[in-house]
Amino acid sequence: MSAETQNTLTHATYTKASSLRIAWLIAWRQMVEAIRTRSALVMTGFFLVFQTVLVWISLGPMLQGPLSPRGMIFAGTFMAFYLLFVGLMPSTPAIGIASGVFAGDKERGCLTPLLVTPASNTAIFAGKVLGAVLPALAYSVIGILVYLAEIALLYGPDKLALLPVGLSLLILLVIPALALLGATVASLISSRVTTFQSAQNYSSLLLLVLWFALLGLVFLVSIWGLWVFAAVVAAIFALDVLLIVVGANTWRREEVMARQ
Amino acid sequence: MIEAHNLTRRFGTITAVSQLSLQVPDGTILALLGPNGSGKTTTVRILSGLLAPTEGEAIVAGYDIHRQPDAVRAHVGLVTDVPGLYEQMKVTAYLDHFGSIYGIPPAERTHRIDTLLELFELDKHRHEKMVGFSKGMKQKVALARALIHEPPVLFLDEPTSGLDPIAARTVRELIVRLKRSSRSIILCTHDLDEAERLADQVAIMRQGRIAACDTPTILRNQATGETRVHMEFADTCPLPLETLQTIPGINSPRFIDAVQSDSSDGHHPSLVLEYFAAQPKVVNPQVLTRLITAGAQVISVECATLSLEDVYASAMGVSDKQQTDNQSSIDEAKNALPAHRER
Repeated sequence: MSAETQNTLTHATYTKASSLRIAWLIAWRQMVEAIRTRSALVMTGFFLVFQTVLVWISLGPMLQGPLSPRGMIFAGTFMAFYLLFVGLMPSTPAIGIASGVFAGDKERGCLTPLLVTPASNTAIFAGKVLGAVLPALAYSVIGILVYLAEIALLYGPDKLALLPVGLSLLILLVIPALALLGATVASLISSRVTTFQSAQNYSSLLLLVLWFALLGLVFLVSIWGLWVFAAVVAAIFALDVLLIVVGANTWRREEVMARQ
Repeated sequence: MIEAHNLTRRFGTITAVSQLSLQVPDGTILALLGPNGSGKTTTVRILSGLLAPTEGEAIVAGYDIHRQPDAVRAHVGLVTDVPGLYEQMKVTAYLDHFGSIYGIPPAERTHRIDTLLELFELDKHRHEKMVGFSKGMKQKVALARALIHEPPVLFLDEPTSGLDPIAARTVRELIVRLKRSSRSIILCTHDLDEAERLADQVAIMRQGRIAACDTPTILRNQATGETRVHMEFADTCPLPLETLQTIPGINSPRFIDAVQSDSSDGHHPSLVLEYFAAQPKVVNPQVLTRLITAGAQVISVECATLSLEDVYASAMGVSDKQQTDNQSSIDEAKNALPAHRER
């Protein structure tokens, strides 16, 4: 060992980084790890190809050629429904990722080094959840952009104007709300179970509930109109915030260690 | 400095650690020995601020584990048997990530990472992803991670577990270097040899309690305070055990090769005599004089203090008799093997 190295083997005291910065560091690392997960990438790629083909087959005959006023309304509603579909479908793998943020890391032994840092419980929990949500949102944005680009390229940019503005905006809001809900609940499940397998099982159940809720939402909109949809979107966001706050305030690294 | 008093941790009805007290001054290594489930890892988790004790107090690096767990975690490093790395990352990025969490300024972080990579001989691999690293290299990275914030206290929970002998030796050498830099180190291990070589103090844990704690030398002496003597003869020992037992200071004399040397006429030649003596310098000359006078042809006399393994077995409640029985069973099995082959 060199003298230089020998000298550096002393002790130091550093000022702890702020909880916000630590949460961001953890989230960023979590996101990069999630994006690097091959299975998630493969699933996202599959969804993108699937949605492209689906849009081409199902919307193609409707959007080619001149449309009657009634046909324009019908096509616009159909396009909005697809917008919801393509926005949420790519975020599905992210729920799988979220279910591994605690349980998966614990199984791989990656969680203990993080828990032994001076990072607060809130910073760790918030960072982990944010790290699970961000890839979900990124995949959703990619899905939506690919969808809109496909319509513009295959059928002309003017066809995008067929999308009903109010409904489309609410759909663009409900996508992150639902992705956040899925990822948050999956993270909460992941933080409270002992194995990744359990986390995935419970998260699959969650996914099923979410898809049924989505179908119910579509049904509600068709019957009760946009105001109900807006209220539901607001309620989902409120639920997201509530879950994150409750999760961050109740999660304790001790419980994780005690369950090991 | 680590100082713990009466630490107890219960999980429901199970008591993992009970009334544990210990002290590890700066620049020393305390080895925690014990079987799985004896409470070593729970002790380390309590002292590193990961688990709160149900009862008891501890000061780690000057901070109270009850009132200042964040400060405790900021001043300790922990390495477990699983490196727990984000293996798709490069070493430098990984260490930088943890350095950032500990709040080390960027310039200092870079310098620190360079120093650690040099120390652990990983500088050649700084641009490689860790997924291709050997277990030994990964464990070095884990050690580097534990040292990135220059903690005065280190917890090493079976750091050489699963490593090949060369990698294990490298890690042990690094542990010795870390001790020299005035760190208090707690080393959990199953490896008695490792504990004996590295530790200044050894604490043997059993069922959540410290069954014995002292320097390896004192522990050995405390176990019986006696030296075991093996005396080998060219022919049968001329004195019976009854006569030998009359020599002052000789304890538990016995012939230990009777079974192996069984002769066809039923006579058991006594080729090796074993006894214990608290004062071998006084007892051995007396025994030798009596034996030689009686015509014994002594080939060798071997004195051995107890090994840490004996002390460990003693603390675990494995009696000398059980050890002997176990050894006899092994010996019998070994002896039976060639006979079986001959048939």
